[in-house]
Amino acid sequence: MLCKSGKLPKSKSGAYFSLFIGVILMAFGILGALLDIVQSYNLVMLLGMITGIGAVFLGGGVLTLYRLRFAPAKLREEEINRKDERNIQVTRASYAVSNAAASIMLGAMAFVLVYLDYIVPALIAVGVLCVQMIVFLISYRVIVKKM
Amino acid sequence: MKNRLEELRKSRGIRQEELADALEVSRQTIGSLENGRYNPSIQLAFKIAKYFGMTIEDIFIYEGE
Repeated sequence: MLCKSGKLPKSKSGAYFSLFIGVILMAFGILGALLDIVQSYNLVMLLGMITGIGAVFLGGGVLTLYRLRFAPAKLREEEINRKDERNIQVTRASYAVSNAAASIMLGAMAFVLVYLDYIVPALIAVGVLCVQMIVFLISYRVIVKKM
Repeated sequence: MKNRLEELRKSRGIRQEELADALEVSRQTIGSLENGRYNPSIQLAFKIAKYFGMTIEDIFIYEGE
């Protein structure tokens, strides 16, 4: 299947990898903030975001290990639901709709930002829209070759 | 496309959960298949046919567009 859903690591090795990444990111974020490596407010905020992402990885890893240990049946059920072909089709259709909605909103946002005289954010919005189209074209070509 | 999935399942006294478990799909997928809301992939159609010991044509009835 081309579409593989599910974000949390399901295997033990995946869980340990998630734990490792989480610890690294959290250590980087927390130590960076505590040791005053950066001074500006926005960089401190960025370190906070990195810490947050690390916590997500760490939490996902811990949760998966817990479930592997105490609720393997539930985990198997989730695995079946994740691989279920109808669920995959539903997910693909939902992604397509949300992607189209995001594109329209980004386009509209660019106009609103120009109207509000926020030229740089407007250019970023247009840039993201262009990148999105490029990613679509590349993924289309790759998928066409696979099918 | 029509199918005889519900009829076959009930005639053999199998619950939706059991069939879903055997085919490694969700129970909702079995429900959707039985209601005719969802048409299976060729892979799943073969699995269903193999499970009941029949051919795909015996279970699924193609009625055109």
